[in-house]
Amino acid sequence: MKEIKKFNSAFRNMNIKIKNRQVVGFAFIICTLAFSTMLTSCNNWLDVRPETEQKEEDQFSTEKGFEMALTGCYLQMASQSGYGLQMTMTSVENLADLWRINPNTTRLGERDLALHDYTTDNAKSTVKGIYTNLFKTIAQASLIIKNAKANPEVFTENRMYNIILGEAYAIRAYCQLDVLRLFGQMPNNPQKLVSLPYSEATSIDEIPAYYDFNEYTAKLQSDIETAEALLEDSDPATQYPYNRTYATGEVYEKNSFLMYRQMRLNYWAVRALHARMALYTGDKEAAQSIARELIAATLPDGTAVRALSGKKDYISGYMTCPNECYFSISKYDVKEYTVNYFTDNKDNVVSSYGVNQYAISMNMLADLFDGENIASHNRYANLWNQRLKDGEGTLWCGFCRYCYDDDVPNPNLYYQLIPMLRTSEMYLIAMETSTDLTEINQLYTEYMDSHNVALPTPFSSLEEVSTWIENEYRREFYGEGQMFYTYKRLSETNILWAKTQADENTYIIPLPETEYDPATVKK
Amino acid sequence: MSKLAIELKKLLLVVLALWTFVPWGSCAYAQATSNSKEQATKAPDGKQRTVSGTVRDEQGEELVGVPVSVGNGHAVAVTNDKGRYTLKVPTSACQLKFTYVGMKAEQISLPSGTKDLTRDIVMKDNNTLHDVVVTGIFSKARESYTGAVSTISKEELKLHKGQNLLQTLKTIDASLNFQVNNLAGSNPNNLPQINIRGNSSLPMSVAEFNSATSTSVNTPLIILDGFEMSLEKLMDYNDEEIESINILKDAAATAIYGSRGSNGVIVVTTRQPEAGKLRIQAEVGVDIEAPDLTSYDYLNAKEKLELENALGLYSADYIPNDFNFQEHYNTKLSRVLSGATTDWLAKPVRTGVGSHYNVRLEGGSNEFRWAASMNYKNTEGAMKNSHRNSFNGSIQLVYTLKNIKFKNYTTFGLVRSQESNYGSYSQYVAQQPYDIPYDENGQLVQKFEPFLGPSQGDLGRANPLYDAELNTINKSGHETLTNNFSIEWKIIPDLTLRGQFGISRLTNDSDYFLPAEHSTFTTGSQYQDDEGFLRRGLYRYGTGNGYSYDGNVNLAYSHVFADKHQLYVGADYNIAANDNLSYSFTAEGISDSDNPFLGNARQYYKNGTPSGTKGKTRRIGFTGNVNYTYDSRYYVDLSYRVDGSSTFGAEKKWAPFWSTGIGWNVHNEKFFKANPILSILRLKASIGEVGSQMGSGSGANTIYNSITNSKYMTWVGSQLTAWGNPRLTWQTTFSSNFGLEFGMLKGRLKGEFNYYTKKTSNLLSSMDLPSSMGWNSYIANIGEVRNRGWELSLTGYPIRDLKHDFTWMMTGQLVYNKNWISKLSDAVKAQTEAYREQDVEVANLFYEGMPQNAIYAVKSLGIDPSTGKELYLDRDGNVTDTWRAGDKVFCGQADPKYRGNFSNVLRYKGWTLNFTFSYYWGGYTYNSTLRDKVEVSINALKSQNVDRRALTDRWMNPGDVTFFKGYEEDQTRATSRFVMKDNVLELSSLSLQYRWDSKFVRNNLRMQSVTFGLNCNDLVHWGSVKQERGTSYPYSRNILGSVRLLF
Repeated sequence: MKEIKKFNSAFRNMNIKIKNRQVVGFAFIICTLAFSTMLTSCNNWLDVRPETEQKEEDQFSTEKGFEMALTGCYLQMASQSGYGLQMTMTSVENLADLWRINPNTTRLGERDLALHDYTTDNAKSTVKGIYTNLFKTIAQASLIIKNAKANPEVFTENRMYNIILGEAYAIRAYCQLDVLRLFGQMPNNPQKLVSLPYSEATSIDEIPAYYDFNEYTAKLQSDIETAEALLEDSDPATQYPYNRTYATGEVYEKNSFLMYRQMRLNYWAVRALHARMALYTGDKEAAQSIARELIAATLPDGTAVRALSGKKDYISGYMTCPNECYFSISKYDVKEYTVNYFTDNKDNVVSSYGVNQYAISMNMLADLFDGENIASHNRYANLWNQRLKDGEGTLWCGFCRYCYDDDVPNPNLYYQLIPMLRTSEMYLIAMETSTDLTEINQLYTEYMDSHNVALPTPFSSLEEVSTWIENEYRREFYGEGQMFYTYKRLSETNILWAKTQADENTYIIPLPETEYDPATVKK
Repeated sequence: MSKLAIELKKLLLVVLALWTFVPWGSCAYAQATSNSKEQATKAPDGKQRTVSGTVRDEQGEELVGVPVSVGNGHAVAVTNDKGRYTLKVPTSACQLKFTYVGMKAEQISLPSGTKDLTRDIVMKDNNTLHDVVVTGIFSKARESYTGAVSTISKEELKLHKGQNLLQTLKTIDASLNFQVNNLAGSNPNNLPQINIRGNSSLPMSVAEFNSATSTSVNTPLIILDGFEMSLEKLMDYNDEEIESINILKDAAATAIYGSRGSNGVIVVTTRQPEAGKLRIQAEVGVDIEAPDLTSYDYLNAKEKLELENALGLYSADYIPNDFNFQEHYNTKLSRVLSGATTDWLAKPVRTGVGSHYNVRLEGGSNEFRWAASMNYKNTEGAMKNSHRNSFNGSIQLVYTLKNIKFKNYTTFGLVRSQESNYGSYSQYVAQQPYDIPYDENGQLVQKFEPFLGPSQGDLGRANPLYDAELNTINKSGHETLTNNFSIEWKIIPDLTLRGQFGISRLTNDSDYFLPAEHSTFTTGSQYQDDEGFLRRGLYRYGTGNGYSYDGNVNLAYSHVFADKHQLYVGADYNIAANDNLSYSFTAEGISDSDNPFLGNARQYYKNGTPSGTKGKTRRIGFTGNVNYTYDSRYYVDLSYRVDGSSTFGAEKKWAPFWSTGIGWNVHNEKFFKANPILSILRLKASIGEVGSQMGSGSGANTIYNSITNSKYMTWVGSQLTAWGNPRLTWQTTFSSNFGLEFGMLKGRLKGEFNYYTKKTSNLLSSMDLPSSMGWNSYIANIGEVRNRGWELSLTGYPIRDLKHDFTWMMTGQLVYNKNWISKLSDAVKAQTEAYREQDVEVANLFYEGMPQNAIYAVKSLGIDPSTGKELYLDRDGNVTDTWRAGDKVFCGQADPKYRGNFSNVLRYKGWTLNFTFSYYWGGYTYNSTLRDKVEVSINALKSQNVDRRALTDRWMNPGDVTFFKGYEEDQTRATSRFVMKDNVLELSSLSLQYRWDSKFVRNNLRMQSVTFGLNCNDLVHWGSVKQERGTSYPYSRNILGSVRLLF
């Protein structure tokens, strides 16, 4: 008690000593200081975000941010409404009528795409999902392009700038090419002309403008060439073999972001994309020269960049042909979700065939390999599980490209991926664009060898070649989403297994109803 | 300079030390000083003199029975029937204090001297017109204030005390509009939706509106002693700690809150400690929640069975079936006739008996005052096992050093709430009255036999009581620790500088447990195999915390120049920040039901992921206010605020808000002074623009999010989440107010009238983008909502007999509001049109020119007596019996047009009786009871009980002219037939208090007074719509009994 009283009186005595003037002076200084510091830093102080979010300018203020944004682009591409599923295995393949669809399926959008009835709500929403995802990827690539150009000083070395910027251009081109292939007019002898958006949008004020076929192709070509120029000297894939950028023993590349070049749009992949685009848009000469260049391409140490490796791969059970991919999408969970679409049983054990699963009938398998030597054909033997049973006991063929055993080594390098551009396509391009039968037959022999078919009967005419190539696209790229574009490029009226004849309306997918051309909206 | 710094450092240390010594140190200090005061009363030299005088009210009437005390001691005299008092005081200087119920306490200082003194006193009314308006930032004299504000005093809070503080406010002030929540009823854990002067925000999208998640967009801002607080905290706040509540309604009042002011502001002022001898105030009370089930009128077992049989549910065309069904009917009938019937309505409810305790201690000298209080309240809801317990503790210190005043207020709040393990009330209402929940041995049955007897594949319906008896848990709680510190420095008498800093920390957690025996697991197919069996028993745990601080510096200057020009200038600078995060995760496989502990779980929920949120916001505001009064007659008010917030676009970080108003005190004019009737007449008008920070989200910036649940090779990525709109700006509300205040007949009648308009523009909404932008929409400012209305309040004294200490006060309020959407985004319009075209049924539609809460239904032409089917008018004007969503038309607004309350307070000596009626009318409601409980489909009868009208009022035979259609398979869809006028009158509050402060109490019980109180709420409800009230949780009548002791 006493202490408290003492304390209180001491407290009072002490405080009385403070002179008013001193207090005023002190408070004034404090206030001035407080106000001046706060006023100047107000705007910064207000700039806060939750930790898991970043504003655009912060995201691109570091090289790491660029890397993550680029990875984000690939993740967007790899989503199931993109190349992770719909753009490779289901929707786009259904457009080419590659799958037998159970009449009781609940995937009505996919069914309607296979019937080429694009007017139903289900079809529209499926198409809208694909379309939106493509443009989500494109927008993110455009944002990288804009920000890299604006802040080149962020990058630690010029090489990183070139690679990240080059890949962003390549991603945009890859997706825009498929927008053209899906929604655009017929590349040859079009009756119906279609203008399409080529998106370079980086904000809500840049709604993509529409371009006619030639303008669009020019933009595509420009993006691809820009990417090639940026990557040519900087990409480690032009220096070392793909496998050296990740090999466990001898690591050539110290920057972990520059490893696994085959999972990214590297220089060779962009060249291959260029060949694909040239062929689609009718520039056969360019397609021919690039395809030949890639087939013959070697690295400084003399090794081939890529070679047909189907033979070796299929023996090892690599049904995604990982060793001939210039570019593939890495998808660590590909098996988990494709099980819902394809049987997961690659061993020839009888397994059941569900209502929503995609397969082909035994007759379709026979059609598919009609005229081929199936005795040793490794695609025939490995890609198709012929012991799939439905509820009534009928046998079907299940698709096995994305199946693998749980205990395989290095699944992320050889199994958990989706091929996007590979050497086989370059061979087919080279053969299709050539007029020299000898040359074609030489390529054909090499090509068939990788399919474990020795000494195939040589072609005797160019017509024979083109018929075979069309069929081979179907056999080779099953579940990789290339067949519909092949039919479209060739203006094929008879789609194999389709219920109706194909025409321009079959090949030109209507744009989503939520899409509009800003030029026509603005009054 | 260094000396000064040392001095200040010492001072700070001492303040901190003092704070830690509380309450003991200061208590002793207070005791000591008040003892010395008491000695002073008796005077050291024992000499005394007489003081006398008359106490009158403002109208000049003598006040009888006013206690007069010397210093801060007990009352030593009481005025007589002429209002006169006489008492002896010491010759040294001292103070006299006059206190009277309903009046502001008056204090006079007597100089030292030996002469007898005469002092006449005029006491002012406590509640209206003369007060100071506390706006939370500045304090302003009401005499020169242009804003529309209503003030609630602590006395009113006591008279209307309800289940919680929000319920109390609901009965007192009609300008606070509580949305009727028929679902939640009187659930003590339900947070009501409140708005002031109508809704001013739109939900972001039609979908969001339909999901009813838009609860908080119109909630007013709540300020406690200058610091923002949440609505939930206000609900649990200790009302004994409150001095007054000011509700700021128009822009002139809320502009000083800028971006946060558009929904109105509720400013709560806490009681300040009173100096003097240690005062102890204690309260103990009982809180009863008695379920009110009068709106339920259900069939008993016999009637239900009769209805089922009459409709042929027990017959079949196929003879063997028919025979079986009839046999089953007979079994049921014989059981029912032998008396088997269950009153399911009563099963999950109880009369909840809770309690509350309050202790407040205060005292100290004039330099140093303190108060400490504790409050515990336990509300036991009307449904079994539902409760809400809250604890609040606070310590308040005020230290005055010459012209500097330090204040520190620390509070700790703890809330624990539990939902009833009986689940939703509606599932009990639906039970068949002939189903008996217990078997012969008194054990709960798990399932009731199927409607037509046991059959293959049909295991019957679950008995809800079985799950209810299990050890399920659904509870949550939170703790808040808040410290508010302020320094107020009167630099010169006219200039005050104030600094405030508040810091608050909140932690919360929630637990949800379903034991392995719960029907979720016993019936769920994924829990039947070996793996599933081990997954039974689920526990969901959530936790989070928040941290916020809020500081401001405030400078106020007021001066009277040349006796006529009164100027007030105020400036305020405010910063605030808020961080919060929360996590939740689920575990499963808890086989031991008696031990619901998360650690006992076998694994995390299969394929489940943890979830969480993290947020951070910051805000800065500069406020200025100028008020000029000429000769107490004309005045003009100007407020301006610039606000910056982290939640808005990079280009629009700052936004200005303003208001201006003018006023005229007509009663101060010379020509008016002679007026014998009107004593007060004031006119005022104001306009202004305020904003709303609610719902802003992160729409302004283009945001990248790191993708944590996926990878690409060995890399993780970031993705764009949405396009930002850098032009996104604050939602602003432009409002105007015209007000009139008057007092007449010597204060016997007082009133206030306000007319207002409110226009909220820049409403936030979604804007469409083409799909080639990747994302379909972005957030933009689109749309406009308007409100227009008036508020009238009148207070009168039919009896004011001060001689006999008898008063009767009547207060009435009437509020009118009209709300409509004046502009809408094209996206919303297109969406609505698309829905209409495609006959998509949506619960709520938006149209320009229509109220925000509107009922849309298909126009009904009644029931065709020949077929028993309903006939509709379609959109082309044809009569049809097919219902289509696209034919919906506007059938009325869901909010009442008029609302109000009417209360009577009768005081006689120590007794106070209050009864308050609340009413509203002019709105419509969709009577869903008729759809769900009367006009049920014939199949629904097999699984649920129904309202009596399903038996008596439905079409049965051709020629029946009925309101309800015949029995058929189809559910009744939205029809205008069920849209009814919603007019309600409620006896919302009834209270009786007795204040016992006789000599006996003072001398024998050593107390100053004992107050007994009885408060009843929601006693009677008269409504024009016969519908079930409180479907998920019943309404209850709330009765509180309390004893308040003052030492």
